[in-house]
Amino acid sequence: MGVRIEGLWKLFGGHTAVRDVSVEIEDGEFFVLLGPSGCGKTTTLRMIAGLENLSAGRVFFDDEDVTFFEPRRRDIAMVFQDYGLYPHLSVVDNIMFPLKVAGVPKDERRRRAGEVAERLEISSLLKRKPPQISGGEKQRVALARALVRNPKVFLMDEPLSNLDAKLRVSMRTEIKRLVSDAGITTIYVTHDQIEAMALATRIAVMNQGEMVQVGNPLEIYDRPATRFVASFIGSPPMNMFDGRLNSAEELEVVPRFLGEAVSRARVRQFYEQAPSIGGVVVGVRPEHLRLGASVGASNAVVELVEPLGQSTNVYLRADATPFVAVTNRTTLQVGDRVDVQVDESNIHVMDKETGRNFAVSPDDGLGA
Amino acid sequence: MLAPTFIVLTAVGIYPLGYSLWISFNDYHPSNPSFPQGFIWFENYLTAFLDGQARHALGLTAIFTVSSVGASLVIGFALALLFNQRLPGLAIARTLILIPMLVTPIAVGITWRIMFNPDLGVINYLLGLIGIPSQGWLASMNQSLLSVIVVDVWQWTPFMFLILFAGVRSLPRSPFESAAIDGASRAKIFFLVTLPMMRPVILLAVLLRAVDSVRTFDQIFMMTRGGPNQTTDLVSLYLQRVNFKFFDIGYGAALSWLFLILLMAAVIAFIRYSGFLRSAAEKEAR
Repeated sequence: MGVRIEGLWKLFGGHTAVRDVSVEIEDGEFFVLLGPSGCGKTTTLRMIAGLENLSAGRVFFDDEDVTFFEPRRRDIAMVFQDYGLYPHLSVVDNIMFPLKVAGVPKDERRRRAGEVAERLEISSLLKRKPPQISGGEKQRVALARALVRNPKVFLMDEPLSNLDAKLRVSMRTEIKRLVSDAGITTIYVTHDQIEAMALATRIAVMNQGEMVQVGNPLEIYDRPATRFVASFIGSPPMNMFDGRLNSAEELEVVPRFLGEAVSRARVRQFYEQAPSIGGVVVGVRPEHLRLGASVGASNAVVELVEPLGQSTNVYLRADATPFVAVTNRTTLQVGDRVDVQVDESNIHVMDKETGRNFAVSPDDGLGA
Repeated sequence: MLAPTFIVLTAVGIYPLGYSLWISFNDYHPSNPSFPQGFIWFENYLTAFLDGQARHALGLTAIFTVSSVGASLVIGFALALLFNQRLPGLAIARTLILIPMLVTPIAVGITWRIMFNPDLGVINYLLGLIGIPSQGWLASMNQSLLSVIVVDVWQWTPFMFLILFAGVRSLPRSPFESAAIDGASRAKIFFLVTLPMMRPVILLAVLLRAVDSVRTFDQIFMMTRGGPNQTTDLVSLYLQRVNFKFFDIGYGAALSWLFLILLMAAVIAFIRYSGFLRSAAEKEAR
């Protein structure tokens, strides 16, 4: 089932938690709300669930207006950050709870709970109670409870954030598999950009109550609409430098090689978008920097090397400005002089005031 | 190091207990000319088993305790749930609600005796305003027990409320949200989630209240002295009469000991049956 939200607002006292958020989520989509804590993503999710009253706006499931429906009438399932299990009930009773309140006969309840427990490999835990099982197991029980009744929409509120790093990755894969098997529309809230990239068919990046950009993971990564999105997505984060569009044909930025890499035509293109603005932020992703052996002309010095196995983080300094590059395995050593190069298509130039990325056309992704 | 504690405990606890046990095996009747009368083995206890008055008092005490605790549990729980909502003015009301608990039971007894007065009392006056004829209340054999129960409920519901409110407030939020999303109605959430999650707190509150209620004396003494016609003659009032009116202290001690044993048995049975003192470790092991 598709979910459409229109002009959603949430005010808490004088504070605006969610500001005019609209988006249309397709049937069967895995839609991720991504943003730092306090950006309004969880509040948005809770409004879709009906757990939070809206200050303004509408929520539609397909074409049905559910804005004023109680949560129990929305036919949704939700997985909470702290799992929300019933501590007094055994695992199997937890899983059967939605079926019990729906009046499903006892035999069928048992059968369906057994099936879903099998699928999630928690059959051996059925008689235990939530306080007696581990965090990862609780997570599975919560998922089982959500899956047991074939809801129209799945809502997940940071379901992996209480798990340790290794378990988080394996549960992530599992969630993706389970949800795509079930083919149920899913809205998933997280502050972890890697989790978002790995899971989503589409990501909505939120900041300070607003939905900043909506797009598929690579779109968001390659063409961040604003400075905020550019800095939030990617690890290590995008290198950012203050710069200036001095005249119609010159991008002035330190380190200088960045400005030199951008052609006059492209600078003019940026300049035309914002002729009145001098100050810009110039960004380039660490993996877009190519490090060549210094053949005479060198523009940077290696300050630190972090070999991570799969890749290597190289911390450099050029024109007295530090930045980071990601390369394959390298023999570079601290103190080596290198020649750093970058394609102009990989350089993002963003308005210093509004944060808008000039390299991305204004209608890209925004507003979905 | 433990000597001072031990001395104090002995002086105020163990010695009096032991002495009362000793007295319960004696014919100890200070107002008799032949006092002291001496050791009579189990005669007091045998008398107790044949004492219809004592059985009557025990029955009344059971009715009194069960009704009073039951009613204050229901009202206290309802108030706790009400006060858990975010409504304006509740903070002040919450404080006001605690007042009855803070009043001395003697004062409570006197106040309610006046309020219950069939001719002058405010209760009959108010009932009269809505057309209900005057009732006898404490003076009526049919209504006296009900009346003293009402007073006990009035005084101790705040205590129930306080414990249950603390319990309700400490419940985690997400199971309730889960239940709402899982499709449960308000009634189902109450019976399937709230009530079971509150179980340990409810059991504790009931136990504390019941033990307290069983020993109620002052208010009822002030209101009825056990009357009329012994319709409010609870065990505590009967004991008072045996000991300090008839001065049959040996027999009174025997009755007290029997009552104590009964009460302890009831408490142990309650704890066993409800299992609420079962430790987390034991649960883990199962």
